Amino acid sequence: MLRIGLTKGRVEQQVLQRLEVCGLDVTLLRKKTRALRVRVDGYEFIFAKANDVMTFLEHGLIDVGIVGKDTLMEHPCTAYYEYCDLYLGQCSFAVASYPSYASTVFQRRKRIASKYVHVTKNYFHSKGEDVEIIKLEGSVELAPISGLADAIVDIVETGATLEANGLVVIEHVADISVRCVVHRTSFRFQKEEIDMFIKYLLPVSQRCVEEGGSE
Amino acid sequence: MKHYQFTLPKESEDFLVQRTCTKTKVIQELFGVFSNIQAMPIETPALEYARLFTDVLHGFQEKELLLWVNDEGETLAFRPEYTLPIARIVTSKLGFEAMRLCYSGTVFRRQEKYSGRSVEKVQCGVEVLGAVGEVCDESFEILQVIQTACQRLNLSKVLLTYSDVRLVQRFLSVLGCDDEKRDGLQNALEYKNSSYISSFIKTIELPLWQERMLLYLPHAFGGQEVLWKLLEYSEDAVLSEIIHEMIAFWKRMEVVYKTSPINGCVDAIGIAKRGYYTSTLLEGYIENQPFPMFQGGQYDTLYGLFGSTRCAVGLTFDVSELSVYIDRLKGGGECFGLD
Repeated sequence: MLRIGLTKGRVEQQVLQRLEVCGLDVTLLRKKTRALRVRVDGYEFIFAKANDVMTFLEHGLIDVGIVGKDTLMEHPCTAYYEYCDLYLGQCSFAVASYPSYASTVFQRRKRIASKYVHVTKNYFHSKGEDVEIIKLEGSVELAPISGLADAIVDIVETGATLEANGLVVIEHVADISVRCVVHRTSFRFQKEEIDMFIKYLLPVSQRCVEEGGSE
Repeated sequence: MKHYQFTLPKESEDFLVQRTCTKTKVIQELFGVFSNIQAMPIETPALEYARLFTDVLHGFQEKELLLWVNDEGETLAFRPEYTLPIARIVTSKLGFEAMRLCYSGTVFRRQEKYSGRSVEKVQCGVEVLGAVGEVCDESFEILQVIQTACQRLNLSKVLLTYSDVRLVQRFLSVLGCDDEKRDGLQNALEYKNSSYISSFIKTIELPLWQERMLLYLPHAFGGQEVLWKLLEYSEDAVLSEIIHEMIAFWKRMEVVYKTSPINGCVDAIGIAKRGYYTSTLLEGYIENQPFPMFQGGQYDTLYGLFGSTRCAVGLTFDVSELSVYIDRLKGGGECFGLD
């Protein structure tokens, strides 16, 4: 039985909708109330927070994980294949600040606040820029407003929260969307089952190319 | 009482009686297998110059090593593996003849997995080395070692993944794209990221055969048919020659494992973590075990970096993972986990 770790919340809703469209009976999954493990049509679904999905995957307790690219970029686990993009929840990582940030010449080390420390560190390292990173757990827009940081690195979907706080996107860092990741051992032992499940998940337009069917 | 009288740092782990018995027995069994091919035991020091591990082609990064600065200001590293220290010993002290060496002991690596827990791992392995300057192929011997080891350890349902690092290397070298794009593609192939690859193809004009092969590679996993399909796509003579050699190796695997519980499969994407591998890569998996139980491969240019070129094949068993697996199979309780 294929064990699937699904990120609770918005990702869960979007994935269930797609599974339903493709003919999987998701009634039990929708009516699970507080159950965290549900079996449907030969699949075992585990519902967890995105980081925990990666931890279960790392320990080999699930075969397939459905998480955002933001989690993959931040979590240290590498024992997976980033099998496909589900083209759901598309947004991006961006550096944001007040419009004046771009033209300011800083006479000191810039301070950047983010919930995503690894992403921020890797981005500024790739630019060869030495910055001080301040870890925040949420509402990072408060950092430039309060003077805690010069800019933030955060997920931007519509830009409405930034706009409401007088901030703008300064630089695009990376595109984000929901990804289907597969444990490396599971790939070896259950490739056919995994490919079958992914057929349910991929939008029709992507199925041919992403299954290697170029003919 | 202080906490250190009861607890360990997250990097460390105790081996209690059951696990220690199993670990010892696994090492005994493996040494028995290695003695069948006349492998002689060798020990390497726990501490070596860090540069032994970092300066080799695509070797270890400093962040992976446990480092220590001695009183001469030299940076030393606790050994993260055995292949490089053995190459140092062989070239500096053991002469030019063909030889087989085996080892067991603890290796130390900072790990990103498991949130940095358990930096110690017990490895047990064998190095089969040709004579200096001689062209040879010891991979057949290694396939037999794997088969005997799996029998002696009662490992059933082992999946042996076979790859060749030259395939992806050659394919990427013939693609008409710059280094940055090539690095991105290599990463995408390593992660079997077919979405990245299909987006990449839209950004660049490639000959049809390259496009078809690129789309197929993340899915190129299975039996011999995978290699035939790659051969059908290939329009590069060198690449086709590599695939022909892989087919020959696969046929050899079929002969060795004809009556064995080991199943072989081809993973066309062979990207080694260490840059010294030159062709064959082998990895042994057991269902529901998160990491390979053994891995190895061919490294024919490594000894050249130490000044005396010779062909070499190595195979190492992860005794720590194997002991956990065997204990779990036995349900604990018995001291000697193996029959």
